[in-house]
Amino acid sequence: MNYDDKNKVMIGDKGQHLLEALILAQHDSGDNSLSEGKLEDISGQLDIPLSRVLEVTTFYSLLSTTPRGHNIIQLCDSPICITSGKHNITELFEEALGIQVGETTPDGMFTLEQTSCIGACDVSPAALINGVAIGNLDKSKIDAILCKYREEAENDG
Amino acid sequence: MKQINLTINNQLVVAEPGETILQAAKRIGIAIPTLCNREDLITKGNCRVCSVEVEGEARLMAACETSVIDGMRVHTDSKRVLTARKTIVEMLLSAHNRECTCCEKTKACQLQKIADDLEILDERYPLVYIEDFRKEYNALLVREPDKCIKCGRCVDVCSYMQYTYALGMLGRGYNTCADFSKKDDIDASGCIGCGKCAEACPTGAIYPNKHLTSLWLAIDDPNKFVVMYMLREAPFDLGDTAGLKEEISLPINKAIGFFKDIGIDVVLDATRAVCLCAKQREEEFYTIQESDDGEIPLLTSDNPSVFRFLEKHKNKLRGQLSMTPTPMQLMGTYIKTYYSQKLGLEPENIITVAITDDLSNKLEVDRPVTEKSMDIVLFNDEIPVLVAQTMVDLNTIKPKEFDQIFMQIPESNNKKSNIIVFNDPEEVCAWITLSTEGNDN
Amino acid sequence: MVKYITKYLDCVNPLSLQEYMDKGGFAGLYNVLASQPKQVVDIVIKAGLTGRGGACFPTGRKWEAVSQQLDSQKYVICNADEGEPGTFKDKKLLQNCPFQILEGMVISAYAVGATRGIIYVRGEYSQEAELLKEASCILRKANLLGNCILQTKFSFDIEVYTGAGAYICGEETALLESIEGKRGIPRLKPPFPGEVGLWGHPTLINNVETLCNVPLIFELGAEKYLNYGSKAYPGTKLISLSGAVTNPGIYEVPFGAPLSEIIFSLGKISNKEVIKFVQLGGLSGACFSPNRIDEIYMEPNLLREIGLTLGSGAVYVASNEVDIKHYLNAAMHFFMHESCGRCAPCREGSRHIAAITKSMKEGKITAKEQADLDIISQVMKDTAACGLGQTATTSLRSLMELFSEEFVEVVEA
Repeated sequence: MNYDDKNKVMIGDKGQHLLEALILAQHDSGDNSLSEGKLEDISGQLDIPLSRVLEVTTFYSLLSTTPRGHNIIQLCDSPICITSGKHNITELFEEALGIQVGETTPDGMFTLEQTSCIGACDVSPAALINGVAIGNLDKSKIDAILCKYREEAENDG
Repeated sequence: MKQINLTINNQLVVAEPGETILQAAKRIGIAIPTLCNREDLITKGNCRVCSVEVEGEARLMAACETSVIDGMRVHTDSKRVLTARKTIVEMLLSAHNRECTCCEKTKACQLQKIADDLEILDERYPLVYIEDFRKEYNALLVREPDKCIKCGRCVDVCSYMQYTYALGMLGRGYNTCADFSKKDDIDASGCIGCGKCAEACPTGAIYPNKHLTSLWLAIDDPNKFVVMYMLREAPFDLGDTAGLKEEISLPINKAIGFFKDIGIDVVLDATRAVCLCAKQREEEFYTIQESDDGEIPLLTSDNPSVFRFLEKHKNKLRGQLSMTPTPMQLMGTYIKTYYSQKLGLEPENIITVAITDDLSNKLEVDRPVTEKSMDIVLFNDEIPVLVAQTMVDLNTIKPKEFDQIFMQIPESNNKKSNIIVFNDPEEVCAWITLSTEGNDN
Repeated sequence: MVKYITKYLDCVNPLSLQEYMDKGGFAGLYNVLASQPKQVVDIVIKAGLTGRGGACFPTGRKWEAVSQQLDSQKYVICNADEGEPGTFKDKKLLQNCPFQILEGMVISAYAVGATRGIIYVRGEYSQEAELLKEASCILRKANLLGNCILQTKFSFDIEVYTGAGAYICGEETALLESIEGKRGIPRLKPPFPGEVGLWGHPTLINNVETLCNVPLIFELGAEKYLNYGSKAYPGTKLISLSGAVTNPGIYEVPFGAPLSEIIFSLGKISNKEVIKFVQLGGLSGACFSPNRIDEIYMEPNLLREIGLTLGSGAVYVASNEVDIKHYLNAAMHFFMHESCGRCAPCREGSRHIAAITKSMKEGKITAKEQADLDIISQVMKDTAACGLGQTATTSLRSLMELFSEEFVEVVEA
C-alpha cells in the first residue's frame, strides 16, 4: 500500500511502540498470551484504535491470543530441518510430552508449536525453546531439555 | 504540464502525469476489470485482477496502481493477461461461498459479474472456503464472512473515510478476513452505523439489511395504517430488474401511484420537515444562548451516523450536540403524533415507512439517535426489488400526487445563529482540526 | 575462505570495545568523521559495495539518493530480519560483531544526514537484539553514539526494534510498516524508501552484512577493499552452508569463488554422488543437479547468465536421503504460512499449491493437479505484488524439472 498522508495523520508515530508493547505484555502475562482486556489496555494507553491493535496481534505469528504454557517449544518446520536428522523430531517431542503440536500439557508446563525457519540450519534439526535456539536435536537431547525445565520448575515451586 | 503519450492495445492515448494505466484506459473506453480498487479509495493492488502486460516489464503490472510513463506500451487482453485474470478469479471463487442463487447480492455482485464476463463455468480449483455464519447485527448490517474476498475496501472506508476504525483486516495469509474489533458486538466496536462498508463491499460479505418483508407484513395487516414518506424528487432507477426492460426508471408520480396500488395508505413528501427541522434547531440554539448553559456553536447533521460518530468518537463535543432530530426523524415523529391524532388512530397502529438514500437511517429502526419514529426504512435499491416482486405492468399505473399533510412551521426569528451541519465524519474531523489550530494561536 | 569482514568473529568477548578496536574497529569511523559526507558517499561508490541481503543493488547509489533528499529528518535502518530458510549469516554477525554493525550504521548516517537509526531484528533473534542494546549502551558511554559523536557536530542514536514472527518483514517496505506499528504489508514501489520511507521521510535500509563491510572500506580505503572479488562485485560474500556437508556454517569467500570449493573444500563432503540436489539463495532460489556444481561461481552476473541467482548466499546441499516430496511440501507450506495475504494470487495460489504438494507427499497427483501447479505458479510469478509471491514457486518448478519421474506419478483424474 502506498504511503499515505491520511494514515500518517490518523495514527502518526504512535504506532512505533505498539509491537514492543505487545511483546512485553505477552511476556509478562503469565500465560504467554495477550488477553482481550490486555489488548484494550494497550489500545487505550497508546491511543491506537482497538481494530489496529488486533490487526497487528493477529498478523505476527509469535503473538498469541490464546493462553499457552509456561514454556514455549517452537519446532522449526523449514524443509531443511524437516528433512534432516534420522528421526522425526515432531514425533519425538509429541511422544515425550504426551501432546500434539498446537497443544499445551495438562500441567501447563509446555506448549508445543511449529514455527518457520529460525536461522539454525547449520545445526538442524532445531527448535526455539523460550526464544533460544537449540540445535542438533535427538531423543536424548530432547529428554535432557525437558528434564531440566521440569527440575527447575520443581525447585522454584 | 507535459502530457503523457502511451499506447494501450495499440491505440494511442494521451494522459496526464500521475494517472494510472486504469485511468488512461478509461479515456479510450477500455474498462479494465477491478475488484478492490475504487476511484475514491486508497485501496489498490490487492486483487491483481487488473493486471496488464507492459512491454519491457518482466511481470504483469496492476493497472490500478501503476502510473503511466511516456512511451509505455500496454496490452490488456493478451493471452498471458487473460490467463492470469481468469486464474485469479477462479482462485477467488474457490475461497468464496458461491451460493449465488440464494445470495442477497446476486446480480449486483462484482465477483459474479467478472466471473460471467470471463465465462467461468466450472469450479476448477477445490473449494477451500470454510463455511461460516450469516449474522444480522442490527437493522442496518448483515455479514457473511465466507464471502469476503479480502479486498480491503470496507476497512479502508471505515478507517480513512469515516475515521471510525471499527473494522480491521485481521489475520495473515489465507486466514485474513475483515472483521469488527469486538467480533459480535459491532456497537462496542465503535460502529457508527453509516453503512459505508456495505456500500463498498463488492460481494455479499457485508450488505445492508432488507426490509421488504416487514413492509408486506404491514400492508397486509388490516389493523395497521401505513404512511410512507421520502425526501425525493428524482425518479427511482430500476436498472435491468427482470421483466421491466421497457421502463428503466420510475418517475415520482408513477412511484406514488404504484405504492398506493400495492396498499400503502398515505404517501407524503418530507420536504417541509426540512424547514421544520431548521427552525427547531434555531429555537434550540436561542434557548441555549439565552440560558448560557450550553456551548456554542451547535453541532448537528441530517445524517444519524454523524451523531453516532460525535457521541462515540468525539465525546468531548457531546455538550455541543443538538437534541433536535433529523428531518427524516422529525417527519416520522410528526406522523406518529399530530397526524395520528388528526386521523384518530393510536400511534402504534401507524407504521411509518421512510425511503432514504442514506443507509444510516436504517439503524434508526432499532437504535434511534434521538427518538424512535421510523418503523421501516427502505433504501433506494430496494424499490426495484419491490417492483419486481409485484410483477406489475408499470404501463397500467396511474400517476398520483403526494398526499397533503398540514405542518405548522414557526416564523423565522431573523436572529443570527451559529449552527454547524456536518455531512460526514470527515467534515467533523476537519472542523476539529481547524478549531484546535485556531485556539493554539 | 578469507577473513575480511569476519575477522571480528575471533573476538573472545563481543562486548569488549577494546578487543574490537585492537582488531581495527572504529578506525573507519575516525576517517569518516574527518571527511565530508559527500566524500564518504563517493568512497562507497568507488568501493563498489553492493547489497548483501539478496538484491545485490549498488549500495553507494542508494546512499547517494538518500543523501540528496531535502528533508531534515532522515533515518537509517539495519535490516536484521533474516528469515530466508537456509540463511543464518546475519545471526552469526549479530551474535559476534555488534560493534561492527553499529559502526557501519554510524558511518552511513553521517554520509546521508540521518539523525536516527533503527535496527530491526527478527523476533526469533531476541537474544541477539539484547546484545545489540548492550553494545549501543557501551558505545554511548564511549561517545561513539548519541550526541556530538567524538566531539564533532554529528549526533546520531540508534534504537533496537524486534519483529514478532513474519518472514515478509524482511522485505524493506513491509519492514517499514512493521516499525510504524502496522501489519507487515509491502508497499507499492515506486516511491522507494530512499525518497518516501519511515513515516514518509527518506530512509536508508541496509542489510546486516552490507553494513559490516562499511567500516572495513573506511579502515582499508576503497582501493585496498577492491583487492577481493570481481570488478562488478568487489569484496566478499558470506555463505550460509548447510545440509549434507561435514562442516555446515558460514564461510566468507570472495565474489567469484567457485561453488565446488565451498561445498567440497570448505564444507567437506566425500563426493558428488551423495548429493541429490543443491539449492542456492535460500528457499526462493532454484534447485539444480550436482552435475552443475563445477560450472557455478558465486558472482551475481555469472549466475544470472546461467539462470541462477545468488540471493542471500545460502547454499543447501541435499543428500540422497532427502525425500523430495517432504522437502517440497515443507517449502510450499512455508510460503503459504508466510504470505501476508494482501494480494489474491499469492494468498490463494500458495494455498492451492500447498494442498497439491501435500497430496504429492502422500503419494499421487492427477494430471489436472500437475497442470494446476503450472498455471498457478506462472500466474503467481506474473502477478503477485511482491517478491514472496513472485519467487515462492521457483524451487517447486526447478525440482519438478529435475525429478519429475520420481514423484509425479500422474494418474487419471
